[in-house]
Parts: sequence; C-alpha cells; structure tokens
Amino acid sequence: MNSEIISELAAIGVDTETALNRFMGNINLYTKFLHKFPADDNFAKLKASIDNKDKDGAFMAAHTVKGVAANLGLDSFSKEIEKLVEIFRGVQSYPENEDIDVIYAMAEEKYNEICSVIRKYA
Amino acid sequence: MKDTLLVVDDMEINRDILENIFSDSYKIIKAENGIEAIAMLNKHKDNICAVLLDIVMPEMDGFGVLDFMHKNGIDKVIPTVLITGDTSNESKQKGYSMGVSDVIEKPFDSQIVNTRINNIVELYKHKNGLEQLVDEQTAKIKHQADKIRTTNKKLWDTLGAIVEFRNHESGMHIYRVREFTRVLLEAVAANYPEYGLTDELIDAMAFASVMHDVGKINISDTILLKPGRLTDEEFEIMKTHTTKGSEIIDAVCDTDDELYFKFGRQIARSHHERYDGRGYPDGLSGDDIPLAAQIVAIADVYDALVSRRVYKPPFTPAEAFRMITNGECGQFNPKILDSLKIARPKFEELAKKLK
Repeated sequence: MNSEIISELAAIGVDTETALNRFMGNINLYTKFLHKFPADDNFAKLKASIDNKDKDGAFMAAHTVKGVAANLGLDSFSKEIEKLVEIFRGVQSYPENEDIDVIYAMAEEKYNEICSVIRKYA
Repeated sequence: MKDTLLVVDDMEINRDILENIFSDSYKIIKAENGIEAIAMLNKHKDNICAVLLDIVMPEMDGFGVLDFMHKNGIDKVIPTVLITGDTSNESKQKGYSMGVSDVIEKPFDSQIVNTRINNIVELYKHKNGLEQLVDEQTAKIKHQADKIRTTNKKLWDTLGAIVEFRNHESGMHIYRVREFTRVLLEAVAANYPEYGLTDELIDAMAFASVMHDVGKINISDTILLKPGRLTDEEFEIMKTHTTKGSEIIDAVCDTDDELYFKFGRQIARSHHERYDGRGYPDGLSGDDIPLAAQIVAIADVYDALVSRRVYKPPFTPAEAFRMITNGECGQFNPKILDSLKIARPKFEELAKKLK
C-alpha cells in the first residue's frame, strides 16, 4: 500500500527517490507526512493572505508550504511556491505584482494533482 | 554527558526528519520556536552537544536564539547549525556573523546532514576538551612558578645570611636592611611619583637587598675579620666586594626574567656609590646611581649605626638619623633624605622592634 502511493506519485513527477533518502529510507515515515500534506492548512492560509493583501501572512505561509513540499519531494509544486516566497520576502508593502495570481494558479493546479493521488490512499 | 541534540523548527515534518536521522546516535529534544528553544537550553545546556536551528519561526526566530546563546556564552561550548529554507546569502551571512558553525539548506540530503553534524559535534568535543586542558595546565604552571619564586627567595636569603655569618654577624643585618629598604621605598613612592615605584617594584627591590654584601664571600678572612683599621691596600681589596657581588649574581642568574635579578645586581654593585660621585666602584653620581642601590645604601648605613659592632657601641635612632641627614655618613639624594625624614617614625619603630 505504502509503496503503491510512492510509485504513483513518482509517475506524476514527484522526486520520491530523493525524498525517501531524506527519510533515511523510512517508507512509513515518508507516507505519514505525505498523508499530512493535504490536511495542512498553510496552503489555504497562503490563499487567504493573498486575498487579504497580507504580505507578512503570505510570506510565512508560502515559506512553510515550500519547506514541507520540498521535504516531500514535491518539486514542481514547491518551485512555484518558492517564486511567491521571493516576491513576498522583505517587502515594505503589499507588492502590486500581477504574477502573483498567475503563479498561485499554477501552484494550485499542481497541488490538486498531488493531493488527489494522496487522498486515494487515505 | 553531552549526548543530546536540540532540534528547533516550527514544522513537525522537519523535526521528525531530523529526529529520524539522529535518533540512533543522540538523544533528541525538540522545540517549536525560539522561546521553547531557550527554555530547553536553560534546562539541558550541560547535556546538549549541538543545536539544529531553523531561522523563520513564530514567537521568536532563530536569530533570537543565537542572540541569547551569545549573550550567555553558550555559543562558546555548544555549536549551532542553521537548517534553513531561507537560502538568501544575506541570512546565511547574518548567521555566520552571529557565530553559527554551519548552514545547511532545506531540503537537505540526510547523509550529508548526518556527516556534517557529527563532524561539528566531534570538533567541539575536542575543542572543549583542549580548553579545559589548557586551563588545567595554566593553573599548574602558575603554581610551579610561585613555587620556584619562593624557592629562589629562600636561596637568596640563605646566600645573604651565609656571607653575614662569615662576618661573625648574627644573620639579622640583612633582614633589618630589607625592612628599612621597604619602609624607605614606600615613603619615596608616596612622595615622589616621578620614580614610578609600584608595589611590585618595591617588593622586588626589598627582596633583592639581601644580596648587597654577597661579594664579601670573596674577601679573605684576614681583611674581612681584621679587628683594627684597614690599610689603604686592604681597603682597595675590601672595595672589590661590590664588583664581585654583581659578578656572582651574573653567574648565578643568567637571565633577566625576574626583576629581582636586575635589582640584586644593581644593589650589590652600586650600594657604595655616593650622590656626589665620590663613591665606588664606578664613581657614579646623582640619579645615574640606580634607585635601588641608593635606597639600600641608606638602609645599610642606618642599620650599621644603630647596631653594636666590635669597633663601636650602637648609636640611638635619633643620633643615626642626624648623622645621615647632616652628611656625616656620605652624600645622599636629597629626595631620598626627605623621604627618610617622612619615614623616620617607622624607622625608629623598626629599629626598636628588630633589636
């Protein structure tokens, strides 16, 4: 069961090999955190912060999501989030940058793809 | 026992990955933010061998923790490794400038993290051990230096006393001269700051005064113990006790690493010089005569006056004082004579006590 979710994620481009290595080959620990990923509310917080034009909230949420995703090998998703982290890093006021919505939409697409796989094995 | 890693990260996944890597080799304690980390450090600092620290965290960030460790000196004994998703050079540089040992970027490779942390823990173990060793050795060396100094002092006292015993004196003269020297030096120090006398210099000079007549060991008994007046020829030989004295000290002390070597040499050679240049052996005048020798010269004369000798009864302290200050016993530095006037009550007290 655990190895099936990993091979299906690998098929949609998740770098499961590197991630598993990070967990010292511990498949159970890796899958435990994969299952926690859709339940984590930081991606929703990121959306809410963008909608409310809250630059600090957006930075913190994006930073956290990026860290978790990168650890799990969700590279295509975390690379989009990383762009948002850099947009929000150290800004004095909320940036008027139309890329934010575009990048968010791209990230959301990846997010949904990954979560739909993970939820199948919940 | 330093066997505990403190893992500080607001994300459970990061804490668990690190725990999974290190739980075989270390005890793991975890904190979710800077405030918790500081509480853990306070409680467990004797057992913590390294801190793995995230930067961006709620409540208090990683820099706050580094600041706390630095202010409390903990960073000297416990290494910190930043494990951060914030890959900007700015925060890496800030981390290094705040004393972190290493910066590891997330997401990281577990094997590399494992090796780097282990290396740093080993390095600090070694460093802390060495520092303790250096402290122990330094204390030991200081103790031995004190012992050597004490032994040297005893040796010098013994040498001085031996010479005096040859002279058929009691061996007390050198101790009285030492005390008079000290009292007179303290008066000079208090009234003439231009001489720059410190407690250390006064100690060394007073201690070195026991060597003033060491050169007499080289004078034959027929001259040294002659009851009557010396002939001119005999007196010329007697005068050589000054140069011989400094030669003996040169031979015994071949370094200048102790102040009292230098002063002993000056005192032995120059304690018969006169302020007007009519003394011996070098005919030095004024402040060309080393201060230590000028002081001991007065202390020596004063003690000779107030002591009983085969050729004379003791003078009273008042008589001795008068004879020195009015120039009957040779020319002395007016500043030192002034100091003698100031120190007069102490001299008379000492003369009574040392009798």
